[in-house]
Amino acid sequence: MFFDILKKDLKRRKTMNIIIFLFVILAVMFISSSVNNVNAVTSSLDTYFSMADVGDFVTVERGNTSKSAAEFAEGLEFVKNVKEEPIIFNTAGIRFKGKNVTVSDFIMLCSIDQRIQNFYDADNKKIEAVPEGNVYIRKSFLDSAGLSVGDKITVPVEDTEIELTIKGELKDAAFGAMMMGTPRFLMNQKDYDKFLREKKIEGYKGAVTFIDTEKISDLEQTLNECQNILFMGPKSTLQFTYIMEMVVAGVLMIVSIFLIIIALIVLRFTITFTLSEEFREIGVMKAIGIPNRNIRGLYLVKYFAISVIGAVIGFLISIPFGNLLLKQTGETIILSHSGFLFFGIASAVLVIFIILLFCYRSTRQIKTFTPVDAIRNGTTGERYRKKGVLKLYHSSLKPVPFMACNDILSSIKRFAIMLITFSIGILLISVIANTTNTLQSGKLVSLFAIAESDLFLSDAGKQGVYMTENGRTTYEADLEKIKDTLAENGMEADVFGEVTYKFTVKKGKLSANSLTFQGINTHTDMYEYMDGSAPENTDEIALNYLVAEKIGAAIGDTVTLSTPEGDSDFILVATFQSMTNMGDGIRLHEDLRYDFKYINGLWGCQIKFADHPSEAEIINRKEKLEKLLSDYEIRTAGEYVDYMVGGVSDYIRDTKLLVIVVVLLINLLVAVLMEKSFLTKERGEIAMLKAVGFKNGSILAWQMLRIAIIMLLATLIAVLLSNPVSQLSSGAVFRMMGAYSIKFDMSILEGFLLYPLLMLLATVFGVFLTALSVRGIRANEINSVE
Amino acid sequence: MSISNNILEVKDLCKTYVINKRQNNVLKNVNFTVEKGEMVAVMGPSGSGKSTLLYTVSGMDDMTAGTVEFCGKDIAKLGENELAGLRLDRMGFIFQQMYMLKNLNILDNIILPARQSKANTLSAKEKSEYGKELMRKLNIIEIADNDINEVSGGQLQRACICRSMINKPEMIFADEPTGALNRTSSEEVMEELLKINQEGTTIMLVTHDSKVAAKCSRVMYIVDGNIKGEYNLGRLQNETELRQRERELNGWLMEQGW
Repeated sequence: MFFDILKKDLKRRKTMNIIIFLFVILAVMFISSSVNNVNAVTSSLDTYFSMADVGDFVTVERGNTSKSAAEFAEGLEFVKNVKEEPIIFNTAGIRFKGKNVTVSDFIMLCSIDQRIQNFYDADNKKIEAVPEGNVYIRKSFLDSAGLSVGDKITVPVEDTEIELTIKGELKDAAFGAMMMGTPRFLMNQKDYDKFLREKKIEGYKGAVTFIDTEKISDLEQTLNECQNILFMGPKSTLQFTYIMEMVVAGVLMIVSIFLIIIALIVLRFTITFTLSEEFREIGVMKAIGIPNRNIRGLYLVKYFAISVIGAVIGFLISIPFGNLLLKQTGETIILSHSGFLFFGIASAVLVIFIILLFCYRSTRQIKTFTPVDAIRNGTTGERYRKKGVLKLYHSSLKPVPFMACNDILSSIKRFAIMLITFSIGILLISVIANTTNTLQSGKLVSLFAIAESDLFLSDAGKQGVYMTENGRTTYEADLEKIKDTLAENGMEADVFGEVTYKFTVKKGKLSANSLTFQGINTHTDMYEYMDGSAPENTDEIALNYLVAEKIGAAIGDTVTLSTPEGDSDFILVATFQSMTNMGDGIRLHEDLRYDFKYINGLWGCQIKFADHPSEAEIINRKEKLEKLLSDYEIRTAGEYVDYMVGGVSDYIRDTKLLVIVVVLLINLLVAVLMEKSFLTKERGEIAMLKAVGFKNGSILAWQMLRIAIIMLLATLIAVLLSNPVSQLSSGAVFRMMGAYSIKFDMSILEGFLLYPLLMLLATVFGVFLTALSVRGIRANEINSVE
Repeated sequence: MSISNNILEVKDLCKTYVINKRQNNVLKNVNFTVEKGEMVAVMGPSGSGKSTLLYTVSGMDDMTAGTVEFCGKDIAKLGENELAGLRLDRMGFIFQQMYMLKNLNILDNIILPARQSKANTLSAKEKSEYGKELMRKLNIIEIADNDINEVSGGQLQRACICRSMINKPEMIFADEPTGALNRTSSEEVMEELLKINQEGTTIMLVTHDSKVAAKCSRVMYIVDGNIKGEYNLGRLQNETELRQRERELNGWLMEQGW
């Protein structure tokens, strides 16, 4: 009888068993591949950084305003080793077939002979030499600029221009992440020397320094005095820049957890349903003396078999799937495959263990069945629980919508699986949609310490011209020229810009070397602040809240700003948040005058139209300006933000598509499973409805309407939870990048209308196909239904 | 020109089930008519085809051959939706299993077909009132708000009778309506069916119980898918003659091989 029941169950509950089986496969496939992926990236990063011999602390400098970082570090007792590599900054961009194809404001030109770290090519082979006239460039730069290996590019520095052939893709541990804005061009010493012979080269010289130490914060305090530093940070910060390589894996891991939860809920439902249907067999087995553990074992064997076979298949699929996900990462870093299978197998085993543990708990119910249940047809006598919630005689609804609403309200537990599944699914999609939209909307512009604008113009080629003693005059004149061009073409606008210095702010003994922002043609009240109010006088200053925390300054305190022109005291009047350098920044009053020769960056120029045009009109004007101001790269606010975070929105958009497909599949499976169980349970009711004259169409509508209502409720729940969940999930990533709080651009149309509608249609269609079997239920079955 | 008084006319009705390639002829050339206002009982041994006959002539099950005319309409020619419409508006059904929707209370279950019917032109409120009126008539008004698991079998079957009456059908088909009830409940239910019949509704019921059948005006005896005989009892005038009718019927049934 044991195996007869098992056989019968596998046959009768074919759909349910197949659905659980599919859930196990999907859950194991996603969890194994995502755990493998995250493990591969994190463990590989350590190995990769060791192989590349990146120092404990890294600085990038430009110019020689003060002593170099190496000079500061050498001689410090806690510093073990210092290595310095000279570099040249290209700020004029590069040309390919005569066209500017610059996708980065700065490029570091380096010589293979002066390297202080190891570089690798696309085949993970160490690059020992670069032939003269050739250059290695990282893949993400080549992709963004539309370049390929073999292309000939022109690299200018002032009056010197060198044509270089792209020899191959460069794997550069320290500056290879797509989030890193400054890529490295690795070339032959002879080519490098040609740039060094340029007359005006001094302003473009810089250095990358690796410092080995265990006392990072002490070193940081010392290096705060170094005014040449553009960037400094420990190795862990550089490793963090590879976070985007794990975005897909991270999202998949969340999807996997979601899948496992759904699998468990579905499993619990299936077990409860099966047991409620098989109480007679169980009662009879008990009556003939079969112990509880054996009966329980019977069900556990089934789920053990389903989960083991499902897990094996899921794991096998996870290998090619995981490799596919890692393909792009493998183009950026060197992946070590140690423990690759171990983590996948461990995840699969964990899924089996969780499923069995859950089955064991869910089958406890068997203990409560008695032989009497079998005899009394499952009824124990009286039942006092009130069932119906709504009253038809009080309602103006038609019977079909009434029955649908009443069923849900009367037995919400029955619909809970669908409600939870649909809600999580929509929530998951809406969070990703919110993140992509926020990144693309331009709302994050303020988080890069710049004023709100309609269009952003950048001309890397002019950076060098501006970063000189007379730079300010040239820059302001250029801004004026752009304003005039706009006005001549009927586009009245404010034209302004942002320059950055690298100054040190101090309070007492604590100091922080930070990017220092100053607006040109702007007012300090055009920027967003967290606390306090915008600096109104030249002796007032605003600090990034992390910088303020670092030096222990609060609003109202006096802080000292160290610049090459000397120290000055300022009153701290406001704090702000910014994602530049993961939470860095000092805001100066616009009337303060520092020489442009000290600036280390110039964030192009910004346009704010006077007539507040629509988004479509902005795009229209952008296209017009691309012809009028052809020397400039023009971006909308959304494009600018995306550019600043390393073009991740495309990456997230691809992930969103994957998640939509998975969620759609899950919803469909759950809806079909639930509908199957409803039809089994409601066979008698359907026969009765047919007997009293309900048409098939009405019965189908009743079945579908319930699912549709659940989907609407799920959408409502998702709407309510979308913002808090977005804050908890992707908001946490933004916080890691320096933001204090993010206002998400809620995607109402996309997240709460388009995708739920798509899901509604797909799910209801699935339910419709399943529910078509009501046509086969005959009215006269009413007397044969138990 | 003669106007037929028949509400149901069955000619050469055959019903065959095919199970595992084996034919099972459940009904074999059945012929009979039911006049408006009649109360006809169908009796016969288990497996003789009584219920199949009831379901086939009411359009709940397909026929293999023959014709069934209900109110002059050949039901074989009606589509599934038209048949559903017929069951909703012009027929009433009572089953041995007192099946109702679990999530609705008794009154809601009763008025559900009325609310679904487009032919029933009463307002929603009037439909509810009529449902209550029926419940009052059948002495179950006190359970209107109860759930179906809170009432006795007899009460539930009377509620099913109310439901079958809600759209004022021309004919009620009842399949062993007292089969799952005790003697007292069974008598109460039959009382109600008799009242309904006396008010003009035609009833055709399947039963094993000669006591129940004795209350009907005519009894058809079916054996192996054929109507072996009919016994005309005439309309029951008063309770006192019931014993006599029962004795007569039992005698006839014995002759048929009961």
